[in-house]
Amino acid sequence: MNLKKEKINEVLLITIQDREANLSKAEGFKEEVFQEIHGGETRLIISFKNVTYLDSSFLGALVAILKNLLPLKGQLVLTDLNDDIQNLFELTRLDKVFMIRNSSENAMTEF
Amino acid sequence: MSEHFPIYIPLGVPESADKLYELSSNVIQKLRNHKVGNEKFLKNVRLVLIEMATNFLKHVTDANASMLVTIEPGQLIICKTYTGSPIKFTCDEACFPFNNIGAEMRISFGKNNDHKIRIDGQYRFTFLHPVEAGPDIDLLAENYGLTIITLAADRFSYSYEPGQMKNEFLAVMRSSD
Repeated sequence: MNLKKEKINEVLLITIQDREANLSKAEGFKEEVFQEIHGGETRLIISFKNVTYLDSSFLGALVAILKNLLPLKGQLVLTDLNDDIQNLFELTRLDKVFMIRNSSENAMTEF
Repeated sequence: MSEHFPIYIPLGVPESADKLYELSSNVIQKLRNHKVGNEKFLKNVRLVLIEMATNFLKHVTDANASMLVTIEPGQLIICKTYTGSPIKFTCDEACFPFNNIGAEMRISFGKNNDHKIRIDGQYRFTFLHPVEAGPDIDLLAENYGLTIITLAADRFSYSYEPGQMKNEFLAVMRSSD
């Protein structure tokens, strides 16, 4: 998966560059983020500003990342969700589980 | 609408997840052309189509597998069929063939992937509202496909015909027109 990574202060901002976050990319994305976490990055923002659609496989990958971060007292903020993606989080009630903000600038204030 | 129903939209089995959004967009455009449903309805149709097709890619190897969208007055039916072994699940209370028709029970498709069902026949059940995880994030599911279909559709059911080894998933969605 094509990811742009920027370190801003102590926070890693990961911007997904692909338009579709789906089954073919979920596992690779999860492993790449796991590598960052195991490398010491525990304050993460994941931006979906380029993503049109997110499927259940990718949703599962995000849950796995969150589970991976919690024992390390890490933090994950999701940003720039379009209406379809926001709808998916609300439908599955995962909007109550994840911290969701409308922009990476707003997300930075959570750390 | 002054069209003749039902209207069928057969779908080819997708080869890659990267083609599913386009596939769903093509179906939604056809539904718009037939003036079926509002935008919220079409969003839910996209969810069901993509999750059903994703499930195909993950679990089904049958070359004759197929998906069919049927437009009927007031409702849309999305059907997925394939031949092979019946769906695998674990359940403390019962297994195929069911004999407690009408009963509701909890089945599991894996770790933290539990679903509530109502038994409709020996090899037939309807998915009910998903089992919610507690506040513990470690107990959250990492598989959401069936949950999304259950929540986005008005009815989501599974059936199996042992003689023909035919599996069928059926999502019924009431359109608002």
